[in-house]
Amino acid sequence: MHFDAHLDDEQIQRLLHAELAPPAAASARGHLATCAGCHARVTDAERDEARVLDLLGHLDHPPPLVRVETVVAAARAHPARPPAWGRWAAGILLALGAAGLAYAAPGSPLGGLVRRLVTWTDGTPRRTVSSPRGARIAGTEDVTGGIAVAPGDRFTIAFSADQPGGVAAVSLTDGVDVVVRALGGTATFGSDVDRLSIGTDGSSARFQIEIPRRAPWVDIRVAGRSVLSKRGARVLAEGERDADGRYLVPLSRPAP
Amino acid sequence: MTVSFHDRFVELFDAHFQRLYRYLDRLSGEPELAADLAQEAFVRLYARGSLPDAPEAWLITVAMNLFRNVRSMRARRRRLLTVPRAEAVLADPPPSPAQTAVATDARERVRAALDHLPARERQMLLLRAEGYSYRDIAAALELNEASVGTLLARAKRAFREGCEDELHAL
Repeated sequence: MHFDAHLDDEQIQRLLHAELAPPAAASARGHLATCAGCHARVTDAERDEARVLDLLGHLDHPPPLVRVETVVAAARAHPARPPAWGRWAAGILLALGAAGLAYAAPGSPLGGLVRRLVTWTDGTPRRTVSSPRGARIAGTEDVTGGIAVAPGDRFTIAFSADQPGGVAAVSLTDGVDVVVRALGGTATFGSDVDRLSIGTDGSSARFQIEIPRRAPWVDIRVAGRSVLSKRGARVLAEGERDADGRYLVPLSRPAP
Repeated sequence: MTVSFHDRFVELFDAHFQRLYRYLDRLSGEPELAADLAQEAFVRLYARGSLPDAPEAWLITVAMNLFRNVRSMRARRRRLLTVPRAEAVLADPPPSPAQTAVATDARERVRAALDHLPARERQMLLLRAEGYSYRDIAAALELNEASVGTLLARAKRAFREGCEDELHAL
């Protein structure tokens, strides 16, 4: 291989940074040996590189002294998930406390709301909301698992498999974390930088999902198929909305 | 012989912590924040329990997400460790007031030139300055790897010209 044409910026930078494959690098050097113009451009690029590195050095501060043992200990002392759950549980306790105070206040309008919630969760005349397939979303009394994750700029919640009859109730919140709760069944959770994976093979769990309104980009996928997408304030979702404004997203393919 | 996750993590930490810190320090201009974010990224990697396919790009992405969260929420989730500055630096003779003033001025002018670059060019320039591969840069910044060199050349040109403008303004 031999470069007959002059080297472009991409090739020159790759040559400088040893990012050309060996045959291409040899060919480029062969061209440089016969082309004064390209040779001058490479020399300029090398000078630019040195100048840029020198300038960036002005920004440096002394590096921290960090031992890997300290980092490992911190990871073991603060595993990724419990702190998020701790904050979630603390938030619920705080909210319940505040609600109790508000309920006790004379003339509080919260009485009716609380009575509604009690009726909803006490097990007898339980209010249920039907999805298009008849799946039930109940209260939070039977939470069997969950996770809270900061969503960042882009975030995908991926259910591993279709779950016949399954449904996820999705609500928008003013919180900062995406929160997923499994109700009445098992599910496995795994989180990565921009993704939450939920294993639902054979599961009968129902799900509640909270998405922060401020999250700019969130997708919910089931077996690779998008069932809800949030782009800024705009939400597109399969399924219907219940009386509380939650999106009832089916976790299985629609009937043909 | 199988190398354990712990051993691979230690190897990765030794090879990449300082350059991840330096990247974040140059990007943010806040050394304490950079140290926290670099540590948090490694803490999360260890808590993950296994190495991703491209650990360097993974660390950059995690650190950048943390950085954006810190910037947007103006609050740190967790301040991990209080770390002293390198003792080796303390062994150097202290700079004179005049030297300090010159260094501060140069830093501010380089910072101004860097901040004028679009975010992607700024990050790319700083990542390459730390020796990250084109593949890692492309993965971390969601770029087409085939055009990293061209974009780098453009970023370097803009940065150098910006610095010259700043220095001429002295």
